[in-house]
Amino acid sequence: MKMREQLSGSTQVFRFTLRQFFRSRANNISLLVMLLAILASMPLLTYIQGGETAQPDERAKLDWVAVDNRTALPLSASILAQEPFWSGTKLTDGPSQQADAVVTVTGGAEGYTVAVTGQGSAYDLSILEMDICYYVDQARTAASGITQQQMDVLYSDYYVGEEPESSAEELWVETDDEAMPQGFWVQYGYAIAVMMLCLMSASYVIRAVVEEKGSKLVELLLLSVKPLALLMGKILAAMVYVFGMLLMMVLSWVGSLAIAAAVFGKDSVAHITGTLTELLSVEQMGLAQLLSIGAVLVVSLLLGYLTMSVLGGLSGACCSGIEDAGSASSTVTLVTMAGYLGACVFGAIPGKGVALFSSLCPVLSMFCAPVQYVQGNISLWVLLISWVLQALVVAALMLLTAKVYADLIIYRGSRIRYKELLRMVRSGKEAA
Amino acid sequence: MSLIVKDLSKRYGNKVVVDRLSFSMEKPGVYALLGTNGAGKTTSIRMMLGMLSRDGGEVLWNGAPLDTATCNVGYLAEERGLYPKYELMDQLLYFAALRGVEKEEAKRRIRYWAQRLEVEEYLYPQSAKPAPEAALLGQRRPRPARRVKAQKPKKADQLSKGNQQKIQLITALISDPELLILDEPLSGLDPVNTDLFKQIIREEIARGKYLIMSSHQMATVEEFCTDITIMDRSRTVLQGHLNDIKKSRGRVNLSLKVEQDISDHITRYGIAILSEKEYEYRLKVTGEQQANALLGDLIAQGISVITFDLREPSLHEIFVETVGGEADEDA
Repeated sequence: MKMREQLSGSTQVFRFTLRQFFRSRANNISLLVMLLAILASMPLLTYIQGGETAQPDERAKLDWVAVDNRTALPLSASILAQEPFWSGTKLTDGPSQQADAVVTVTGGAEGYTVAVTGQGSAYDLSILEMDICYYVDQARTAASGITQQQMDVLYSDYYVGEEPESSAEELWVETDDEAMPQGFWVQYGYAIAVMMLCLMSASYVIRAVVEEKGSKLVELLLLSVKPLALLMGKILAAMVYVFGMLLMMVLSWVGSLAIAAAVFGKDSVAHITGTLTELLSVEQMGLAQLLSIGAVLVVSLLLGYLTMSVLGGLSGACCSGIEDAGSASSTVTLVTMAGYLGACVFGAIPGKGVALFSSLCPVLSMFCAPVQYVQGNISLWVLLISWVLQALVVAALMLLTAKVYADLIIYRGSRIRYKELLRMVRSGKEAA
Repeated sequence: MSLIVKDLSKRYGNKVVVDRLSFSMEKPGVYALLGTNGAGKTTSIRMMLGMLSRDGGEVLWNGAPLDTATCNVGYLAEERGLYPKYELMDQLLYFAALRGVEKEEAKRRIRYWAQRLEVEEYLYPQSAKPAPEAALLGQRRPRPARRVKAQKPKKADQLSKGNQQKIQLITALISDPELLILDEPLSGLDPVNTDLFKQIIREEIARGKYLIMSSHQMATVEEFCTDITIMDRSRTVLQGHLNDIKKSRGRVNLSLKVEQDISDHITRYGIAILSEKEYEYRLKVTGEQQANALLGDLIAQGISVITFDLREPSLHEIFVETVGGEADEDA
């Protein structure tokens, strides 16, 4: 039978299911509670942390710093903005009479001089000097033709003190502030988002399928639509609903930040926006790069959603009534949790091999591939192969689900186990 | 238009559930698909409508395979259901959209059937406006009625079973089908609603529709159908025009009412007594000759005969006789 005929009526199913999702009082109440909680979160957090700035001791007291770079080095005052310490300070280039502090950088190949003059605490001025010296060092090293890789080696962590006999854990290590690499936190955050998406979407699809089967309406529906159209309509409706929910949650969080900034001042949320900017390296990216990353995330989330919702449809098709919905969800939960935990583990292990494996392994790939790509651990080609593999998994699951859904849609009885399901599919027989 | 079902077969593993079912409808009317529980009626209907795959056979509507593209079908399934938590109007509009009925037309049809089936109050909740109260000339205007709280649209689980069944009948009729399949349409209905459903079925017959009815209520089937198929354990055991089948059995049911005990006369003629209550007998005769002989004898003996009614066997009797008394009568 032609695919078009198989999918005929899915638009009506999609519209009706989506409408019912939005009209469900239970859905609306839980969504409202969630959005209100998110909206209140940032102002509440800021209030608990003291209202003003979250880290008042970590900010410079200087209002204006001018950097007068008289060398050929590519050094600008804006570079200081990367440091949260200077986030509340106006930074300008060139000499200035009004600035609280002026940094003058002079010299050339024979040597450089950094002179800091101005008012302010000795602490702030010394930090200013240290930071400028650091960036001068970086700039002159880069100007000498040393590659980024060589610079990484030069500026890598080093141990201080004698090596103990017993354990390396006792070594004092000079590292960044974080115990884990920054990439881990990006991977961790993304995995949580995917996990939420998968669990939510699968539960909505399972509920929609089981509810329909339990209501004994299926026969009436099958008169007008094919099983595949019924399933697709539901999956698409759940997708729009779940993605809509996620979008609303993100917007609520942004709104929450805005409320906190309005009530407690911009500085109160500067450390959050600064951390986000740092995590996503937003400042180093152009708009095109940001958009391409957004596209990568959307495609990856869609593939992840489809995988789990089709699996949800398959689980739902094996049930006869709403009482089976719980056990049907457990399979999806299990697979999702396996992927999530795998992503957390693999996210903490550096190395190209691990990145490649986690990007190509089914299930794991939907948690890892986009993050590995954005972090530059895998190439675009590997990402594309990962997507193709995920799409193949979705297609295979879809074919299996369509067959099972058609065979079991008017089945009434105890929940079909996966073992029986596979036997049924292999033999091409329907459940009696 | 014609419907042809030819050699329809279905098996689950080694078990045959429908064995080469064949029948046809050449003209509008009601065709009854009868059988014991588990005989294969519902499976046959599901196969006819393409919900279940067939292991053999074909179903043709005007010479083309029957599907929603070739035939406008309405179906009232035996397993009836509605979305319990969704508004009834939403559900009806959804089913109408699935059947390709435009929204405005669907609304018009829903309004018609809601009136016809007396379920308007569930589909069109009362408005919040209080009814205007008239003031008589020279009298003080009456205090306005307390504002009536607007009723919320009803959901399926707020309806009685009978009313749910009416909504389900609307879903079957919403597309104004040319072929209407009713699987146990009257089961669970009270006498008033049974009459209402029967009236609608009569109207659909009068409008030249093709109806296939599956039921255990033989009296109802007998009231409507012209042709029947009786299935037993997946096989067709009796098929044909109902009147022909009845004629072939002869007039063997005699109802007799007299004013005294005539048991001796009855036994003398070797007639079986099916029931007896206050000189009112239900007898099974071999034919008209035996019945007339008994009547002549009674008259000759001066026995006053109040009722003498000789009839063909009822569908119920034919059914029980055919399938070996395994039928269960709902009515």
